[in-house]
Amino acid sequence: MIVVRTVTKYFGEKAALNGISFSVPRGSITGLIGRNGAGKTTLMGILCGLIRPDSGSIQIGGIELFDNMTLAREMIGYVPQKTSLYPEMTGRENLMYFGLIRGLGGKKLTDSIHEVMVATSLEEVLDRRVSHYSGGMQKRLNLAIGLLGNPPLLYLDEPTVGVDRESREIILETLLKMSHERGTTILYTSHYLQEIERICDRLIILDQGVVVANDLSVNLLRESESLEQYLEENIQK
Amino acid sequence: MRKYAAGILKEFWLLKRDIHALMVLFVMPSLFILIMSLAMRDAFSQNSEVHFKAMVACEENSSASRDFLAHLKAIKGFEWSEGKSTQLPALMMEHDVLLGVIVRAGFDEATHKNSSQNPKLTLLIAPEATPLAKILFETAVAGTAAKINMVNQMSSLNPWMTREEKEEALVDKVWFEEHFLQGKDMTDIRPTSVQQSVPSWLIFSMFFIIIPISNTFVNERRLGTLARLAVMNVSIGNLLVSKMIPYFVINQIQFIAMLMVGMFIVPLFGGDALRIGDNIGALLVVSSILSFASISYALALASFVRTTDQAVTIGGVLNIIFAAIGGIMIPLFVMPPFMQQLALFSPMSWGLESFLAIFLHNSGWNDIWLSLGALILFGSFCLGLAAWKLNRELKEAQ
Repeated sequence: MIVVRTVTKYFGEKAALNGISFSVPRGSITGLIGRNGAGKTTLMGILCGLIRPDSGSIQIGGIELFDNMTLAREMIGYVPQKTSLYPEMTGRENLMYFGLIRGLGGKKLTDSIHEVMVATSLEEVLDRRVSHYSGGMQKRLNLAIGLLGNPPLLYLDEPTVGVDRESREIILETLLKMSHERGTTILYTSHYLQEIERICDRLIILDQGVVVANDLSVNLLRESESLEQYLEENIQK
Repeated sequence: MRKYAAGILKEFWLLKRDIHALMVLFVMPSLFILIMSLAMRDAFSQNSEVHFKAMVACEENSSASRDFLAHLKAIKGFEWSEGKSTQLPALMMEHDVLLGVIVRAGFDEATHKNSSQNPKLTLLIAPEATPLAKILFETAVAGTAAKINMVNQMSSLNPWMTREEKEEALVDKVWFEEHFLQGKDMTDIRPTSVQQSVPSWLIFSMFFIIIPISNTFVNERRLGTLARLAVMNVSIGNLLVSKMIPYFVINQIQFIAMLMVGMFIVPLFGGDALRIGDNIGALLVVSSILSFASISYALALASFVRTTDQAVTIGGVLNIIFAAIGGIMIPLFVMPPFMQQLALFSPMSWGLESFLAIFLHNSGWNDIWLSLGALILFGSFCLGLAAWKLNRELKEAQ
């Protein structure tokens, strides 16, 4: 679903990404991890088309991202780390607005709102202003917006930071359900290794702008040792 | 198209919950128009009800002093009372009288001579008297004295002149008729306080669109919503245009509402009714271009500040400065020339000049194109600045 080939991005003299290549198979949940400054945010920006790399290419669903940005972006559902919502609007209004932006309308929009509302367990609070939501509810709504229109590819940037246990469970279960039932391809970044272990099939590890582990099977990892132990032994030295 | 519709819908949702901003946009200018129109009514009115308090004291009881007093009291604009010459300064202080005149003994004799030596009138001017009041008073006294002097000299040359002939000579002749300059198709339109207040406070409130715009825009930038929208293929152009449309509608509602306040509400409280002239098309164009300028300015400002508080504070202060130098708070015509030059730097002044040209002179495009051109340039520059900053910020955010 995603093919990244020798992507390099410099900020001044510093290489944020240094010739990285990897691919994300269709229908997989791929974890993207790395220490602060490893290049995750830059990579996410490039994959969203917000930052143009200095060299290399990115294909999304077979389409060259930077040659046909509009078409490629239509496949992407993006859930940023910040709760990028309108706090003075209700949950429903937020969903309607972003749904319309996504190109949905009429029955498709209504159905999609209902679907994501149920998936993220926000039915009871949907007509309340978002500013009255708890942090966890806001994160769930943040996710729900990313799910609108059922995009085939979902980017999640630390979606559970600062979230209560109940909301964390709902978010993780929703992602698993999206992947298993709809075949959504998910690229997931998180600092919580237990979450990565729990939901991801594969793992990409970035360190200092290079991919140090690509297409690492989390299932295989689980059989041998814990992810935390693997990282300690192979990366964090 | 759906993206524009979504953006417009979203701005209206946010705006309807921003009660404070709506108050600033609609209630504040309505109150200002009402208060300032009534407060400045007499200062603008041609049938002024303003009277300067004045006192007169006569040290002699002659026909000249009686004539002088009678004619002085007939002059409009003064409210006369009498006192004794020795007590006049004290009485003036006691009763807040600004102007006084003492007719000295020997006035009658002096008016029969053609000499300016040894004046027989003493003027007393309180320190609070404005230069305008002082000049009016001096002119009134000098004019009346000259008239008495002229008639008395005539009577000295013509001993057979009767009392009736003298009185007839003292009657004011009508030397002139007044015409107020106006547009070619208008009749009997005179500038009123409401014609100054309505456009002034309308423009002032239009520029306060910064409050609702910054409330949403700063949050969008702060919460990363702009990046999310960019990933959803919303361009910066799309974003700015879909923000401009709803606020343009709000500005136009303000425009109509404030005209209505001037036309129908101010008269209910005893003020003059606003007359807007016949060039409605030009008014709509001025209002539209002014709206474009004020929204673009608000977007530029909201693109550079970090918090809503900063936007409201900086925007508020800049608006007050623009208003102060632009003739919004104090009419330009009462400002000294260098301040009138300074007004050229205020976009509010460009809008005000255009509105006043249409209200008072029924002007066509020839008289307002320069101001409108300046507003379009200002708005385009601000919009470009906002687009540039957002573009840069989206890149930096990553």
